[in-house]
Amino acid sequence: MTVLEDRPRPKPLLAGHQDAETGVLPVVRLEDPIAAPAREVAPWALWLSRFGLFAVAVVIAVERPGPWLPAAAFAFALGLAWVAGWRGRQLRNIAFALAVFTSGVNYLSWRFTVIAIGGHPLPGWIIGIPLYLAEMHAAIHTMGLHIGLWPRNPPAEPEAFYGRRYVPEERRVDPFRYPVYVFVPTVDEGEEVLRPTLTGILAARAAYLEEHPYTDIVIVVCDDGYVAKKDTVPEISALCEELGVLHVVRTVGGGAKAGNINNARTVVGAEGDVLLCIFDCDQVPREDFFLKLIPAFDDPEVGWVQSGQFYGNRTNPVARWADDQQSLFYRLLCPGKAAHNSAFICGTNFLMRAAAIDSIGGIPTGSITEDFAASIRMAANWRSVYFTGILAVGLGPLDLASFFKQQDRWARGTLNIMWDHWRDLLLPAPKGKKGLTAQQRAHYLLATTHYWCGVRDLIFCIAPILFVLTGISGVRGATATDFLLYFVPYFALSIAGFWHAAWDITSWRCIIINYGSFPVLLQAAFRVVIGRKGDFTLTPKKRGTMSPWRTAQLHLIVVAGCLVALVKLMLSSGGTAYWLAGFWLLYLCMMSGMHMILVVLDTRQARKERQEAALHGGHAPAHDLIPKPDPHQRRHRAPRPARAPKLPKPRTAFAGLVVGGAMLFVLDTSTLSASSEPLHLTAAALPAHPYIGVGALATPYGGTGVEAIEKQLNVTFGTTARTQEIGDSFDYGWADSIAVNGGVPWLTVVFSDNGKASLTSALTAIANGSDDQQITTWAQEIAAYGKPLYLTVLPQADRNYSASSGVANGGIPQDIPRAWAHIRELFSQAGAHNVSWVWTPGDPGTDQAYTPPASQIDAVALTLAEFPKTTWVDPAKQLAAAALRHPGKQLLLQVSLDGTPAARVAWLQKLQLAVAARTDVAAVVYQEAGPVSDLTGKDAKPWALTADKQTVAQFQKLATALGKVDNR
Amino acid sequence: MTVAPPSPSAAPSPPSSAPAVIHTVDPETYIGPSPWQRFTTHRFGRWLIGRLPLLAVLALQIALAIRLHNTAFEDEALYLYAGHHEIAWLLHHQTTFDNYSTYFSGAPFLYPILGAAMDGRFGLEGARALSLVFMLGATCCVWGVTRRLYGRPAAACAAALFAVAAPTLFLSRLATYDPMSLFLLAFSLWIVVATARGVAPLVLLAVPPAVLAVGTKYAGLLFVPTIALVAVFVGRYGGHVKGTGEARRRGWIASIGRGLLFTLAFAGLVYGWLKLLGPSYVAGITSTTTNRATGGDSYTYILKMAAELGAGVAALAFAGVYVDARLARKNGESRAAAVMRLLLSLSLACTALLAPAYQLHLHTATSLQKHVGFGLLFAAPVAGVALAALLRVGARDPRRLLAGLMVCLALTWAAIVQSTQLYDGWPNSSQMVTDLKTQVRPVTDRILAEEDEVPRYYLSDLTQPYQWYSTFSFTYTTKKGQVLSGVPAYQQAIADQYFGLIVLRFGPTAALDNTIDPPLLAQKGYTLIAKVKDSDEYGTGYYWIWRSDSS
Repeated sequence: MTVLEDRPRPKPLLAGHQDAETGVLPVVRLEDPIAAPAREVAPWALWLSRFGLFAVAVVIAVERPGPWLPAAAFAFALGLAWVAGWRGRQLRNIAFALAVFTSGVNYLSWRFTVIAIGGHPLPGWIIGIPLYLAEMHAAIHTMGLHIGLWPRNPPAEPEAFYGRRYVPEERRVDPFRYPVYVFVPTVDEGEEVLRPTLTGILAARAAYLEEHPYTDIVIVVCDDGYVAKKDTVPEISALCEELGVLHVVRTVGGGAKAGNINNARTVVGAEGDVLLCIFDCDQVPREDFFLKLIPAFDDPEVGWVQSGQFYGNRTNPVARWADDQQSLFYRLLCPGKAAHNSAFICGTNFLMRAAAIDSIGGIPTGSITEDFAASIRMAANWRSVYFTGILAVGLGPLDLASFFKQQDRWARGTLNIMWDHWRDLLLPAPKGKKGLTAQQRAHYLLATTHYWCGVRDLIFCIAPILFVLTGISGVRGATATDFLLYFVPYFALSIAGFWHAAWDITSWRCIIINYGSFPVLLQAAFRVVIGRKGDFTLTPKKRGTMSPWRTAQLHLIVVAGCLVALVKLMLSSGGTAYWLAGFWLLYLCMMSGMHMILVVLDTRQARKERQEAALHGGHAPAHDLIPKPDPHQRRHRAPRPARAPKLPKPRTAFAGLVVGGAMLFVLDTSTLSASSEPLHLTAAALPAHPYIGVGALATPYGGTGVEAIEKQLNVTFGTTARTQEIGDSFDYGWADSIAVNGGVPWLTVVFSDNGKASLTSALTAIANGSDDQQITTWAQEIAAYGKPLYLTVLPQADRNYSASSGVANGGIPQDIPRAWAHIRELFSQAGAHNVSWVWTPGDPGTDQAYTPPASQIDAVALTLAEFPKTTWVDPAKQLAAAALRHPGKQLLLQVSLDGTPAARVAWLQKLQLAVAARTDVAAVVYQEAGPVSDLTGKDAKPWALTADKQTVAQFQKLATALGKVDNR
Repeated sequence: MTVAPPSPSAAPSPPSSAPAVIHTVDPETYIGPSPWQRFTTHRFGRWLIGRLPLLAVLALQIALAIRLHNTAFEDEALYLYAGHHEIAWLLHHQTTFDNYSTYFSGAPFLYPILGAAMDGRFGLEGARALSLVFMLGATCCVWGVTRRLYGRPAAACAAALFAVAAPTLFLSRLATYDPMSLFLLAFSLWIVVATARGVAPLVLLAVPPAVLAVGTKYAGLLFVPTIALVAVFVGRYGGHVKGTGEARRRGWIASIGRGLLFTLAFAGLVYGWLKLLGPSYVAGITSTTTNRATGGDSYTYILKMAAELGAGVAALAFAGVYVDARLARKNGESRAAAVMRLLLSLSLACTALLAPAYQLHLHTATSLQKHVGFGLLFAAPVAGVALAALLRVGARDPRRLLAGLMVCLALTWAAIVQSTQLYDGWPNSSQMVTDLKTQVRPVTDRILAEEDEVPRYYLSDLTQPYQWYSTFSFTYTTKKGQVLSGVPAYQQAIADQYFGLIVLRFGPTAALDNTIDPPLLAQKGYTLIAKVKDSDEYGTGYYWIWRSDSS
């Protein structure tokens, strides 16, 4: 028996608690919300959730707990919602909603603290405050999307009502008894557009009357052709006559579309207990339009039932992109709004109770989006319902100019509604009147403020360009880490949450076209702000003559600005803030560039249509209207089609191979130096003849630096002595330049930083491992060099001026062997066996108290720096004393002289004789700068070999003489 | 204006020139179940899916715990250091330099050895990972206990509430006795509940972990009575009723006998153990736990701290008692059964109050943040019942879900903030240790350090225990043979440059530090080599490091 055995689980000890028989948690299949009364929600739960939301928002805003809370919120929501019985897409929506909410508040709160206020040459608030408001707009609307997505009981069918509720039998009314008046307003669309619509309506009427023959559906074409001074009235009249529908023509204008319908209503007497239906003249209903929608009116409180508006001419690129934008609204947002009783009338494809519209005095004529205005006024007293599924198909905008015209009208309309109805949305209802609910206010506010996104996008475009070009930033005091902690979680969760919700409902095209509309939305917002409402404008049903590129002027300017800023960014190096700005510039370029794709597609479409029209004698042929399939139907099909595994496409596979291979190569090459360790490293043996060399050079050691001195002195060096600090790195070029002549470089590493000793320079620090990392790096680099090398560490440790002293700064002589041994140990661990360890005390003749064990020393160095006006030491005696103290060790000399040329020559002669008399000297190095630390300063000059010609000549002789010394 | 008469004729077919309208598209072809569907029908899939909430909770606990970062806490340093010496004594009979059993609040041969073994292999993070594992184990036990008592949804809620409580997160990253003791208590509780349906002697399986828990940390004893009470109350249920799978009922005597069996076995084992270990352990238990010296913390301070750390879960636990009692009534339970259920839930919920009550009695807030966590272990199952009820499990009520989530979010936010505060409650000693490391000399140096446990632990490979002196107590024999203690001892030792290095931070022994620092500030015989910034729960301060000029 294993734990995996699928056996019945014992029930909880205490009866009455929820549990499951098997391993899976209980999933309750809920009843259809329309067929059964909703479960009662206790007021405390309602207030706890509201207060909780508010309190959590306040706490997050004050405390700004960082990215952990959104992460916890996501996990918690996923786990607890699972436990509570939610599954699938709704479960994930809950998790995203909570995570987006917490990360959004977190981000906005932090962002508030870094708004730029002051600054130079212009105060930062000029862009700081608008940028913050723009970000706030984006964040609130992102959260608003999730409010709409907050789960509701899923409908049982793919095509279903949202917002419809259970109505008790005694309150239910027969919806099929209502007469229906269908209004089709038109201005100049002509027969070609109107005929399919009317035929569709007639078919729907026939289907409805077949099932409910005791009622009637009256179809009315409301023609404003005379008002608009168009010549289409006769042909529409003929069409109406042919199809047998009413044709109402106005001669006196006013109220645009709303006025037209109101007039027609009066003419045909569509008042009282009747239903009104409105179709735009290009919207063709499905046969079951009335059959599907009218049942919702069994609830006497339902004021209107809206269905979606989808475009069938998706072969046209603009219509296809616009349809994706429509899909986001009708397939994602509208069901959510309706579930909160906040759906609104969208102008077409809806049925409404005449009593409802009459309760507000008819369709409002003061607004160019009369439908939305009417919804807000009716919503307090009437319920709204939304029906998912495709019940009508229409014509989308045929070119970019038409699309932008439509966007402009919607933007002006909704922004004006905010202007006209802010009291209804923000203030409590007047006494005795029923006001809007909190959810309705939230949803309507989100809808009326949506079109400020044009202004928002403009600010998003300006901010990074302005920052890169002028340095004026909207943000002050933010670090890259802050962005990582606050912005990245919010941004990533918002994007992920959106795409999760919109998956297979819409596409990336909806984002692009929304961004692409910003110039026209900007214009609309400006007109609203200056108080110009503008006229009701029809979306043209024919392609215009304007080039699509004329609509993209502002986008081109944005792209140009971004490119200029990017060039500046690449030319002048900046900090992290500039790289972040660079990221945004690239993002904007990408968005604008993708909008250009639509412009190009529209241009091609225009050309194609012209060619087709030419082929067909001036009239392009009509295409079938095929809407995008309803994703809800796919989602509701019980057995989900599994995707057969597919091999990656050749191009994808090739790209993967190239990228993967490149990454492997980079990884491989990055470890080359570490893995190229030679197998057999040897230290420097005593050379046959002592090496001659120089040290303490003011010129660079690498490249041609040493070669230049060799040329100047006319001597080939067998070694070069060089001192580096522990923070430096090994110079392979320098070492190789010596090794190439058969010589051995002599390196001294001191534990100082810019010439200054610190706590980590102490011998105890070295011995205790405080410098291990740096020492190990040196050891690895020297091991990688692989050729013999003289290495001095802890130079002059027996002197108080040494960075790592055994007689000062807390150091004691006993510390020196410990530190020395520790360094050697690290080099040994790194495999740097090519090092000859050179013990370099101040006085190697009397260093008993300080010296490391003889077994740990390979060579001993004497430092003979002779100052002017002092008695110069005898090199022979010094060598002898050192040899006596350190028997069997190689001797290295570093000498430097500051005195008269004669004295220097004489001393070098003595040195020549002293070395010639010995067989244990490995190298003689002249320190060009003497003991002076500033190698290029004027104090160093008197010490240089080249200070006088006599010394140079003597040095050349010394070099020649050393070549004749035989160490064997 | 013209009005054309309507025609009653049926809809005519559209002329051939008009575009056709295609409203529906055929669904895609069905080609079999998706990989997920196949997974959910497999028995491993079902087993795993049933535990997904627990796995999610554990993942969350890990994520929230590992974000806490600080250098070793004083207690961690002390126990791990002691553990290394205990291991050395066990393996090589090396002296421990200290009789830890006389002042440790847990047996030095239990957790310290385990912790030190992990520390030796993986460093401090390894020892802390062990604590995390213990706390994850405790969360699993909470799940197990709750699932068996109140069902799976309540179990998921209980595990979540326990996992993200501030004391749990804090203990998940603290290498001390507490996580191990807490886990063992949780394990014991789980055994008591899991064996409820079996024969009474099975309850004895819960005794060894309970004894070990108390041995690991003596304060664990406070919570053993609750386990005994739970043994009695759940002992009322035994076996399964055929067909329904519900538990059968035992009589009161049988269930009390079960509790007594547990209690007597526990008492016997503890007594035997103490006899075996000797008086030093008894002294340790007395001085650190049962007869602990009273402190000077006010009631208000202790209550406030306890409320901040555990009030959320405790309040939910008492709500859970009410919910369970209501369910019992709704389920038609007899009065006796309902009383038993009430007592069971109440005993679990009230355990959350035990630690704060005892610390109120002692007037000390020391370690309260850890002890509250022990109480939450017992309260969490009942709190889970309340949360599950709030979420209206299975009903998919969006508003109740939002309310429940907001409660959880508020508790999580509090836990994140509090655990961070708790973990930042001691100064980060990293730079101080780094600087000290550059100066210490093995064997010979004497180092006076305030809270010497921390640098001593970090520099244990460089120094010996006898090199360290703390500012808590010190005895000094002058060159003339005079024995001094307390402030004079410190003052004379500093005058004699007895210490090679001195580290003061004016923290817990600030009064003493201020008394002995004048010669140091005047640089008499000592040089200030580093002043390292530190910050803890009380604000920002400095580590002052002096080096003797004679070294």
